[in-house]
Amino acid sequence: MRRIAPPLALATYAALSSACSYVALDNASPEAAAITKLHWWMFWVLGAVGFLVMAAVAAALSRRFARPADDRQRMRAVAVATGVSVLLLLVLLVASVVTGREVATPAGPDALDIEITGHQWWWEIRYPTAVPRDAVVTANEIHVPVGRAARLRLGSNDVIHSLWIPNVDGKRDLIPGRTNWLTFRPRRIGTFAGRCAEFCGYQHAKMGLLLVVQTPADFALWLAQQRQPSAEPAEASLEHGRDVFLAGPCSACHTIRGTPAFGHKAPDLTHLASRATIAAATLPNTTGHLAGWVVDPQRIKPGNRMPPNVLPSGDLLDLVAYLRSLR
Amino acid sequence: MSAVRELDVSNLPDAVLDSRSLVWWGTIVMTVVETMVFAISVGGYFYLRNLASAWPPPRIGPPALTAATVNLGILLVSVIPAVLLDRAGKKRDARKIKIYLAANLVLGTAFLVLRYWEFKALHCMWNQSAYASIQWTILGLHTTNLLTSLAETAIVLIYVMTKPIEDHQFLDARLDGVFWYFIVLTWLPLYVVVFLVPRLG
Amino acid sequence: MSTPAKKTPPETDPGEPLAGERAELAKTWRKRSGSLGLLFSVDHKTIGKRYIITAFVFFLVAGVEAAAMRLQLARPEGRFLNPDVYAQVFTMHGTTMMFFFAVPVMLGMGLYLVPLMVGTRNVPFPRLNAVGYWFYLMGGVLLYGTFVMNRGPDAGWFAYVPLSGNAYSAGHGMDAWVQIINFTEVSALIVAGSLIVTVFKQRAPGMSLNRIPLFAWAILVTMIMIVFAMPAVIFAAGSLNSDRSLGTHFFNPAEGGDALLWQHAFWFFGHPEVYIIFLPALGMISAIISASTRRQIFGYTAMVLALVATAFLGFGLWVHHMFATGLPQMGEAFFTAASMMIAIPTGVQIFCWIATLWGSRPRWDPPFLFVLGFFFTFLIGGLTGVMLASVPVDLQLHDTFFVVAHFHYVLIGGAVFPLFGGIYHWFPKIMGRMLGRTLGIWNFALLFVGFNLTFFPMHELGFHGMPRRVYTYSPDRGWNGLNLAASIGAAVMAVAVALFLINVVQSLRRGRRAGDNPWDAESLEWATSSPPPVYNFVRIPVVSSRSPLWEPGGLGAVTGMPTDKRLLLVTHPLDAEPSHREEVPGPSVNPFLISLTMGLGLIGSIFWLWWAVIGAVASIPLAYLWYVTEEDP
Repeated sequence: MRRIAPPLALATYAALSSACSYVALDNASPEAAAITKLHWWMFWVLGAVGFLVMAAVAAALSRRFARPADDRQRMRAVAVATGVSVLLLLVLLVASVVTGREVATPAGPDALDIEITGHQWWWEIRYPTAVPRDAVVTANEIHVPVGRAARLRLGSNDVIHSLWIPNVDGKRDLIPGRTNWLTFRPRRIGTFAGRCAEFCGYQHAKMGLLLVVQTPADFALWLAQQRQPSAEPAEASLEHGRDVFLAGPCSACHTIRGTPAFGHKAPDLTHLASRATIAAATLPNTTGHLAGWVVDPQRIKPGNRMPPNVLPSGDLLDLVAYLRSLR
Repeated sequence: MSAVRELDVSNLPDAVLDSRSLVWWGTIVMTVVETMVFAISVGGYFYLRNLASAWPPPRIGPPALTAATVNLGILLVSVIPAVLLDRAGKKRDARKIKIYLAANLVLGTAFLVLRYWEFKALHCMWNQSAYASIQWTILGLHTTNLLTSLAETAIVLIYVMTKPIEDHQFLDARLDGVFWYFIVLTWLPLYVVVFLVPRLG
Repeated sequence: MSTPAKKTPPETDPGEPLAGERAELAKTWRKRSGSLGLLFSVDHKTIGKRYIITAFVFFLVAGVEAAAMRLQLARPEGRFLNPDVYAQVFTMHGTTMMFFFAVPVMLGMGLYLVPLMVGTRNVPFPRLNAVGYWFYLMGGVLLYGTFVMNRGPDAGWFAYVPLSGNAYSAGHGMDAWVQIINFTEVSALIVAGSLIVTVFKQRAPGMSLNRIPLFAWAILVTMIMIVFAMPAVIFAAGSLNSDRSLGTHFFNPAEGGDALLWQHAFWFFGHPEVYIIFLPALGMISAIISASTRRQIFGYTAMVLALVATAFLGFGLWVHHMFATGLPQMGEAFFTAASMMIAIPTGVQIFCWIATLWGSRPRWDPPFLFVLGFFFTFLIGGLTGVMLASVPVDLQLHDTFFVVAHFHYVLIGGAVFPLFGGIYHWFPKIMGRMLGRTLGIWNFALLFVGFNLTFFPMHELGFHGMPRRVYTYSPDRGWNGLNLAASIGAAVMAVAVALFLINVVQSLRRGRRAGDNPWDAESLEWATSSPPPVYNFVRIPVVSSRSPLWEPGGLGAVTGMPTDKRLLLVTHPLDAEPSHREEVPGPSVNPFLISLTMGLGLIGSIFWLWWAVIGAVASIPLAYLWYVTEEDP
């Protein structure tokens, strides 16, 4: 029984692992690919070691295999096993260091700089420009062009967070008072999920973000559009919605460029409707979810900083319609 | 059945006054722990110093040296009664251990009083910056050890003045001396760290 | 290989020639009677037992917390715990398991067994030793006091600043957490001091360094690690405490502080902490394998050197907890190397055990089953540890459920399985009765199955990107089935632990009498009665080999020790030649009182800082009283 259990377990494990999509297996960058390669390398080498050791335990206890051995034979066996372990570990060490170098190659001069600031519990994303006024500010959604290195400058506004987008790279902490960098070269178009990986308070569980890898043309279009001030309300109801926004507590924390709202404690909403999710990749950005969020954010993310808003239904509808118009 | 081997220990002494004794070993373990606390704190000090653009921050400025240097002198002088105490304990000299315990207490207290001006010489309160915090911590830790040692000396002194002295007390007198060596020895590098390193700029 | 021989411990000589000595020793070493006498205890066995029992209570409590978390995570969008309570629960689970179960239970096993194993009557500073236990107990009461009031700490067991700072964790929960760290570190340091001196200075004559039982070696090395690791957490906790209550700036970057300073200081303690838990477990494995196979452990010298090497390397790899913080690459390579190389000494020990087992006919009793469970689970934990030592791989797996799986394989596989084995092994000595074999086998089987069902899927969850410390997850992630499996496994583990408790109760009521040496084991704790008398041995044994109870000539004995005083025989640290006798103090209430004044001072300082000073000052007269009564019987 005990003799077959370990290999069986390992085999099951391997089968499971290869059958399901390992998030970092679905590589979208050379960095992630290098890590995945190393990962499986180590997995199989170490799996073999584990299998051999368990086989040795089983053999030691088997009356058939374990022939009497004198001290010298045993000493030799222990020495050989130790020597082999040392060699294997050295090989793995070299593989690890080489991969580490590969992953950490500098971004180069044409890299796209993006500044990411962690907040409890959302991500502020900034595309700096020479003229600070023109910088694009958004939240919880990073857009990058395919084939060009992206260099993320990571900082935190409050506690330690950690940015993890497994398809493109390993994680990197956002530490108050320090600046960290994360560079990757997206090589495939698509949308990839990321999240905070370091416990950062009650809503750590719901602090996600999206990485959108686009064609250079799409990206340029997106960036130009994000640079615009917010859309002017085209209808009376939308205008009323904007008035509700500006009259209420919303503008104390949120910014909508092109309006008097310039709070900085919460995500910039200038192009809210262009984003796929709300509440840090917690919910799809639909009218219903948005209305639910505005009315009672504490039900969806208990402990977050946004207060509930009790609004007459007409005001609420117009407000949400206005927010949905901010493309 | 073979006879059980026996080992007669009836002529061994019931107490020893030197490094063979259990209490001695206990004291050594304690000083190792304390030394490690100092080492980690000094590690923290240099870690913060490495990060700092200026050490100390310009608005605080380097600590003054007078009080600390005078006090260092007192501490070095105080080694003399500690050595004599150690020796008197070893020779089981009841009269002398009383004298040297008292001398140790007096010099230690003098050092403690001057410590007040050493804190003042830092030119900062602990809550002004990380520099101030670590300076106060190191000085405070050493002061805590000092207080412990003085309390211990006082307890042993009261005991030997009021009760018959036995081997136990001679050993404690020696260990009092040993712990004082530790206080002095740790202060030498700490003096450099707290008062001289900030002057390096 | 020594063959087991019928030993003849001196106290079972026919005709009871030692009856007089026995009676006088019992009188000299007697405990204080009455219920108040409980506060006076200074016997290492009593204190050790208290540590073990208290630690098991905390183990059960932390187990309930784990069950609550598994209940919450069994299904996506669970509503059993809200995020605030969930954060408290996982913080309490980690804090309790690390500071109130794993370390103290090993301290307790060491305190109970090591003086018996080296053949002495008590630890060198029995009253101080009692203080250690009282501090531990008060720390636990304080921790759960805050939790019961729903104000428990909630920043995780490693309490990263600034989340654990004033700005994000206002209130007394975190203040209390910082204080309980102080309580546990004091208690661990006291036990360390006691046992280091016990092993170096109080070994039975003839027990030279190369004859110390491997468990005692493991404890010695562990205690030395405590001496070097605890100061880091003293510094860390002290700094966090003063940042929170005095306004210092150790961790405030705006004033020259740094958030990573906390992580360095904490992990400089925190990583050795893992080995502090794990090394005693290795000692237990050696003791069990030796008794189960009735063979000496193969490669004694290699085993001892491996323990020492592990301890050294254990201080060189704290940074592998911080790979994601963005450190220089050179440093990363160094810490990767150190983290991988620590597998070598552990590997050597495993190889030596296999060499010991080779061709043996072990007794398949519960202790041995737990050893096999250890081999399987710890091996997996060790191998995943090598993966995590690699910086690039770690950057993917760090802070995911893969890490949760890894450290539970290491800690449960590497420490709890051996501990259960150790309890089955030494319970007969401690309580005088055997634990049931059948229940024991069920206990093992269910724990093994439940454990693997709980934690094996977590590797996979980590691969799939499930981060640790989330109170819920959305149903579309593909994590549902594995989480459900893990939760079912947790229920199986709970049944296994319940069987253990039933086994203990049954054994205490009507268990088979153990006799002195039910396993026919080699070391000295089996040379005395079960449970041992308060003075441990009528005559201090004299040993002439590594396996004194397997000596054909029987065990030698020391004569000429006066029995009218509480005397220990002190020996030379290297060759254990007798040096002198030394008297140790007897029962006293002073340790309790002084722990109370200092402890209440520390607890009070959460609310008003000066209470700490008041507590310290109030302790001075008690310290004098302690000193004056040192020689009272």
